[in-house]
Amino acid sequence: MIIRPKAATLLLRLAFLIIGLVLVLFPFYITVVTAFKTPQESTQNFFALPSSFNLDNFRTVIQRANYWRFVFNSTVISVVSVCFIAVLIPMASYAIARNFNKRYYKTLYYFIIMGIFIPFQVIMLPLSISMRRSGLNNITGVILFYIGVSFMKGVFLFTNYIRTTVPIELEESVYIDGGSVARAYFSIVYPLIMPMVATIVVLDFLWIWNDFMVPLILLNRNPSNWTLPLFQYNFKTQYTFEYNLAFASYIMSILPVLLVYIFAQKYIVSGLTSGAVKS
Amino acid sequence: MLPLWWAFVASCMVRMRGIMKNQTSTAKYGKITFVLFTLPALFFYTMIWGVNFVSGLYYSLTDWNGLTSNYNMVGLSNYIRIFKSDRIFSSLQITFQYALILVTFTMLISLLLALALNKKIRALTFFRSVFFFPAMISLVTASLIFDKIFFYVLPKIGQLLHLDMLSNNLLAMPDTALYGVLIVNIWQAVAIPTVLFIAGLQSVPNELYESAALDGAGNIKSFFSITLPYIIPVLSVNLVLSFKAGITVFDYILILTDGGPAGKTEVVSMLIYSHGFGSFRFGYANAEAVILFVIIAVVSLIQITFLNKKGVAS
Repeated sequence: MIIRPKAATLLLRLAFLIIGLVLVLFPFYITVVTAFKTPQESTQNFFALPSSFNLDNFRTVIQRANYWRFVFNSTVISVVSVCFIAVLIPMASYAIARNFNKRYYKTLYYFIIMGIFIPFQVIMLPLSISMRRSGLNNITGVILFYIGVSFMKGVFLFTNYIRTTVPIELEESVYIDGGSVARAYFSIVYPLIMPMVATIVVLDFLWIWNDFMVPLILLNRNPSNWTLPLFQYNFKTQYTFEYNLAFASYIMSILPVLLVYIFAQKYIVSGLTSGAVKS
Repeated sequence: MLPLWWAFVASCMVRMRGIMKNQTSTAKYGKITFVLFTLPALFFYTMIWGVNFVSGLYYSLTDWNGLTSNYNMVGLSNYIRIFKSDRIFSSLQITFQYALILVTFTMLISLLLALALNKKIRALTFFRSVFFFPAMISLVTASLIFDKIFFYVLPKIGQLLHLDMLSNNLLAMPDTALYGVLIVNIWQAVAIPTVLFIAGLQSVPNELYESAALDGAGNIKSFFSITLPYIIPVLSVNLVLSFKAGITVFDYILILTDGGPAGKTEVVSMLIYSHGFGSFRFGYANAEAVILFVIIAVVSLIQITFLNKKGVAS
């Protein structure tokens, strides 16, 4: 039988995709099957599906550590930061976008954008000192940090977004009617930039929820301040030999992200790609 | 920070080049309101980045250990000591090796995946969703899952297949530890470039392929003459992001190997972390951080040059 070149490339492509699929899914498969098994079951056959839907591992993980406390901390940090971000960044960006010909706003813009050049490792050590000195090596300090850092990318994106998508004539009509800047902003501009706000909220939420370095630097000393990633990191050695428990704890940290992914995929993937391809 | 974020910013940079240059609008109203709008940004940003960056530069000129209340200004002697010791050079070597391998494999795999997904495949959305998911989970979780896989699962697979090669934990061997970390990093890092490449590939007009096929051009030829010029902007974004991620790698190393075994995975960030927090050479570690900053600044300048180069798509 002669395989035509077209069929051959199709076969090659499919083979490549399936190998990719297996490599991506294999760690998740191991995670799921191990999390539902007892240690005995795992010893008998490591790779097989679990014989029953056994939730004991999850219960043990929750009981053994202050688990809900860590969920609470992670939630508070992510939600509070994102709320501030959704309010403060568009505001500043709007002011910059509409006054870019003035020196103050232009300087502020470049001052903020310059942060893109500074990796976190460079400010990591001074940050730990300044936060400790001002008594902010706690959850409040972490939230303040996330708000501060988010300006860097946020202002860049929003300033450009407002300039390209919000026609200034709309605001001028508010001014002619005697309205103020604040009114124009809240009644006209903010509703128009909602799609970008949604994208930023989702991306920032995922970033903060998953972030490890900032909590490591600022919160690691006090276990009651731990976030979920910190909890996982600190329990690494404790779970060295109890791998069923370890995998159960991984599932518990993946689940919330999976839910966000399923419901907000639109904002993540299309937000990402709409930027990449010139419209 | 989150790679997803960087990808988003960079992809918008590609799209929005040059927009800031034409300033047309001037607000004549509400000067005070506008200033008030920017004050939180000014305050937060100065407190977090400005103050800490400047004090980092300052501490790098001192012999402070990070704990005591007194310390001395020592000028540039931290920098001189850093360049006299071999550690930073071997660390830089490891870091660059790591970054190069990361970039090469991430680009290769993600481009191939994107090409395989590009032409009409009914399951495109499904595949794309699955391939993208590793970028969603925290790198702590990903690292810990792979840590367990290296420890338990690979040796078991080795037993089943009678491969002695797999019987050792990759992360525990000095020769392979770096590659073990790279496997985890690549597993997570491929997701974002793949999605960006797919988007780039879909911007290529289909007629070009059709006319190339009529001219008798093969797959490989039409890739280099048609596809590549179109995806150069996306490619350069991906290249730079991936390289930067490689040079500043820290979390994966800390969780998976802690710089070991035998210092074989001690990248520059790890050096800064352990000197600053572990061995109380705070001033010295700050000087190392400044050196890392200079390297990143150079890379970023190259990034801007890259992004300003115009591909076919713009």
